[in-house]
Amino acid sequence: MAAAALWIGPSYLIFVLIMAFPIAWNIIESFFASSYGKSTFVGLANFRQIVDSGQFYSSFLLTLYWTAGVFAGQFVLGLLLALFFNRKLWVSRYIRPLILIPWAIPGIVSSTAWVFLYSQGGLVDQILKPFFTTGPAWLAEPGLVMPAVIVAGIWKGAPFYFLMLLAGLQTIPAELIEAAKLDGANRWQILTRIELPYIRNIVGLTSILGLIWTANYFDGIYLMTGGGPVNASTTLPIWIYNTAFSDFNLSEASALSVILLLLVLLIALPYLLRRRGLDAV
Amino acid sequence: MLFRVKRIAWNVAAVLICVALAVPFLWIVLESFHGADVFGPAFSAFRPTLSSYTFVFAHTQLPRQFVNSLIACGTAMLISIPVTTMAAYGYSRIRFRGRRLLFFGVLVTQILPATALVIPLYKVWSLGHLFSNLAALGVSYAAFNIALGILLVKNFFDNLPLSLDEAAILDGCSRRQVFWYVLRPLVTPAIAATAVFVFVNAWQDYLLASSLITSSSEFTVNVGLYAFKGANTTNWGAILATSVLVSLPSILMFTATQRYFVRVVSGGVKG
Repeated sequence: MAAAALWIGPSYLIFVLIMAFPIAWNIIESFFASSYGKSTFVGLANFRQIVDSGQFYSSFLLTLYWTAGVFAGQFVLGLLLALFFNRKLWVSRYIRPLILIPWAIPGIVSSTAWVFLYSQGGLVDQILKPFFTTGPAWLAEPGLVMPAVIVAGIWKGAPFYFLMLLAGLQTIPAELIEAAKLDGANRWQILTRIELPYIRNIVGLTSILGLIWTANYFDGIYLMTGGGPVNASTTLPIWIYNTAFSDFNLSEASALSVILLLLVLLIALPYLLRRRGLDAV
Repeated sequence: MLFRVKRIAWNVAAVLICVALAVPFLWIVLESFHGADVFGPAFSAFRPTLSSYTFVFAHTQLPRQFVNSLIACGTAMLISIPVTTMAAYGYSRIRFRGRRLLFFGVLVTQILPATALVIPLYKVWSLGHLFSNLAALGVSYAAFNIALGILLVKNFFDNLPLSLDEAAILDGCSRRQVFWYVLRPLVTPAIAATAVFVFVNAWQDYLLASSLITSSSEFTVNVGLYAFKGANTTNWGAILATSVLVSLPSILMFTATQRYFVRVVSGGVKG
């Protein structure tokens, strides 16, 4: 027992200092309102204020929209890439780093790249020239901003799905696929009846981690739009950030953080339970 | 013959796909050599110039911010290496009560998003007067990456046979000697991979640095780039050159170790 404390202790010291203590303190503070350095207990008033503001439902829906759009796009793109590269190609080892670039670069760089592509007369406008005389302001139109940031988000994260799903596909015995082909299965049947069910554990883990990361992804939206135009891209994480650092309303930001944390833990529960079984401590 | 044609076609297709996917990044790399006139015709009169890069080195804070980022990311690496290795050894080799519960706690820290912690950390930082402290920022980076490191290194420890430990103990080694002289050298690849992941993850951060670093002289590269972009919205040449420079360390380090990444995130799960 004492021996274990020596080995495990340092990691828990950091977890407590950087995570447990701040979270606990934040939960307590979310029941207080502070003004001019004095804080008073207000019960659930901060939470009520959040729920009553019109922003709550629109932010919640935007977070769902963003998460669903990015997740679906990343999964499909990552899977297609994994299926394509699940064969022996001598160029693979030289060019695969190119696929990983979006995942490896900082969010501020991918955001900058996409702001540049979407800018007036930028690459996107050049490519779409046959369809528009002057391209729309992709990131300034409330109706276009979400699709625009979702495309950028898909690009940024697809390599993660590619890496994970390819690793899974490579564990499938070749005989299994050969046998299915002999039985007359087509490509779609092989994918949905054999390959995906065979790698369902990796698919599950990848999806849950991807969903949590995406729902909480901050850089990819904030650094492109700041949450605008007029809150049209203000997902929950961006709302928290702006509440704290633009409106300087720390009490409300605390309560929002508590809500986000609860949501994350709820989504993550299946992952945590499954993962505990897999690692078999 | 037909077989060979088919094989070449697949390889060509692979190259095209990879290049197409990288276009948003390759495009800014190309334009960063365009000088100030980035919106000019891209190919017709393209004379590569380093002027954007010389501007960045001469007139921006980027060199200083590179050092700041290295301090924060280096601190994160230096802290997380011993801490994760020790904890991984503990979970892999010592049977103690509460082990499952503590390990479950590690998994919880892996999924905690920085967005839910940025406000709590902001308060703790103001309590401890830690704003603009690059080493403190590094400690917070370490916290978010320790779980990943523990999972990766523990996986390596688990694959080492217990008979190694037993033989060394029979030869008179203490537990600490077994750890240091017998097992640690064998998990070095996992420790190295952990170090790289911590560095790359920390290098990518914007959120924590932007809220915990308040003085502009301590800005990290990402916060610096965003600030520069806000103040010089039309100087795309310098913005793009900075973006390329900021990306290089993490691209190089991540591609070198991506095979370990799958192993740790999937927990060695097959299928």
